[in-house]
Amino acid sequence: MEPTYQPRLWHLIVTLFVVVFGGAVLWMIFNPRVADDYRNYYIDRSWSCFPREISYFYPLGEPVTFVAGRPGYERDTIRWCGFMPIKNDGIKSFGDYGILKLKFPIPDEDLLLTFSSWANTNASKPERQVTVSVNGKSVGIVTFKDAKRVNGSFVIPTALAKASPDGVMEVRWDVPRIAPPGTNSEPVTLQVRLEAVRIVPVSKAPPPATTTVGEPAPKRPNPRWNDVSADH
Amino acid sequence: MDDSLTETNVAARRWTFRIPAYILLPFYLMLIGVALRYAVYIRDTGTWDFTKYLRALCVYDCNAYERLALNGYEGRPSGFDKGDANNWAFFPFYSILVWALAKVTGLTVLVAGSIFTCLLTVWAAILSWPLFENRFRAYFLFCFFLFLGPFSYYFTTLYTEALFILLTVAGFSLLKQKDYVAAGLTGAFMSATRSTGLLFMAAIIAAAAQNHIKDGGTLRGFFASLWKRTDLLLAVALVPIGVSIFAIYLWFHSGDALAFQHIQRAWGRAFANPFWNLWLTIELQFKNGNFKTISTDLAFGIAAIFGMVMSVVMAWKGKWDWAIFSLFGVLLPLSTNAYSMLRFVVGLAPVLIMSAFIFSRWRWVFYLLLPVLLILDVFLLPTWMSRSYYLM
Repeated sequence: MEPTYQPRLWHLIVTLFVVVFGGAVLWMIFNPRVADDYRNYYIDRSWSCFPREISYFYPLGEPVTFVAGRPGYERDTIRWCGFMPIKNDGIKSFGDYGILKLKFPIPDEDLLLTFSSWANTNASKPERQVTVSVNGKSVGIVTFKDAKRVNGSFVIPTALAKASPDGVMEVRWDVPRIAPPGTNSEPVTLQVRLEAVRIVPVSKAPPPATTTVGEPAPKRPNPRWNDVSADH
Repeated sequence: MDDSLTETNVAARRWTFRIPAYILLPFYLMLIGVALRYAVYIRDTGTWDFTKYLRALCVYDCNAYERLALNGYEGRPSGFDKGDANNWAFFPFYSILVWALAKVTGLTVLVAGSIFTCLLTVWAAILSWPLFENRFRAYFLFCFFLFLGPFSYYFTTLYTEALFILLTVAGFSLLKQKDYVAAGLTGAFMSATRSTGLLFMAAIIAAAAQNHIKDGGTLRGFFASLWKRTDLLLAVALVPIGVSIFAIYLWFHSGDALAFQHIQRAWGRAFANPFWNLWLTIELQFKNGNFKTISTDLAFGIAAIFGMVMSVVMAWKGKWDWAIFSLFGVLLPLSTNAYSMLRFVVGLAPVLIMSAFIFSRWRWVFYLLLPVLLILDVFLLPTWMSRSYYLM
């Protein structure tokens, strides 16, 4: 014998209220009020990093050192997206790209972008190419053949430097994907480590560096800081 | 009536009033567990300060729940190395209760929360008694596991496991009594505590079908009579209310009603095939050439498999409501990543209860397990306090 049930009106009335409430929640779910960066990173997942809120302040010509304990410009105002915080050995990229954003009065001449970088690769692995672009346009490619340091030095034409609509220059390192996604569904990418970056007007650029690739730079006469890392 | 006789009767009634063993047992075990782990902490660190002991126990998500109770939900994500994390992933109900308790008692959130969690676990154990169908040995093992087992830390410090297990056993007890609307209301609190609380909707339907068949009906008859079951309709509708209120709050706070889910990207969580995630996790251990030790990944994989096997056992035993809730309680977090599967499986009350049924079936297994659990509890305490991923 099948059990019988008696419908109750108050059940239906309360359910109706809950359904209306649920409808409002569904509307909210399908109508997020979020900024583009949030939508791109968390909802669409089309970006591989979530930008930091920074001032972009950069005193043109100053070297920015990303190594803890070193002098240089350390206020962390240009690390925008895709680079982890400053550690003992620089800033490491994650995801498909790392972006620095810099704001300074752009002069009417070409600029020179120099940086010192490393990648988590070695001689037994295939060569890895990293595209460096400024304001969305490629200015060159850096090739990592092994675990040694690679110095980048690229000229940024004035027109390109001034191409940004908001006056903030975007310098971007696009890294290749090197393995299929792991258990966290994120693609495995080459990790670039930046140690230092500098942008300087070409007319004020220092003479080309004589440093051998893979070796530390020799100490210059009258250095602008004391080398504190020697004893550590 | 003779006064002396009346007095004797009252005295006799008082004398015969006993607190049942199933109520006293969790209290005693909780006190023994706290004292034992505190003693181990003193021996390891030489520190007698009880607050420092509670602080040492408060690792990983405990800090997040503490901060949530202290400061509420954070603004723009900026945590972790990738700068994409904040506390939106943590459901509010537990932290709200801890915050309220700390306000009322004047205790710190850490102390109030730790005491509260211990008492919630005791309450959960007591409420679970009807689900054990008078099998005291199984009940003893369940309580022993909660208070003196290798995962006792979840039930001592600021984690949501205690509250979630309490609500789960309350919900299933109400389903057993066929009080579906009250069970649905309990489900609303579950979904305000953890996302897996939503799965209680399926458990309600399964329990109703089960009860219908038990009362002499058929499955076909159950589905045929569903249109009359306004109680079930309301019960199921009530469950998502908890998470919905949280979603509304997040919509106003962050602009995204599903921020609690989207922010999981910071933890490397994205929806995928749970079985594929399980395979990747287990494969990782052997791909790395590790055939000697159980890595964190393998431990998570084993925990997930254990949870699924127990769900199958529940179904086999005819407890379909438990089975569905537990199976999806494993698969839902597993579909995002295998990380923390140990904790997620331990947080599923039916899995613990069914395991207690099985392992207490043979007296020798039961007596063997007690010292094993105890030893693991003691030896894993320093591991837990040193923030081991293994136990997360």
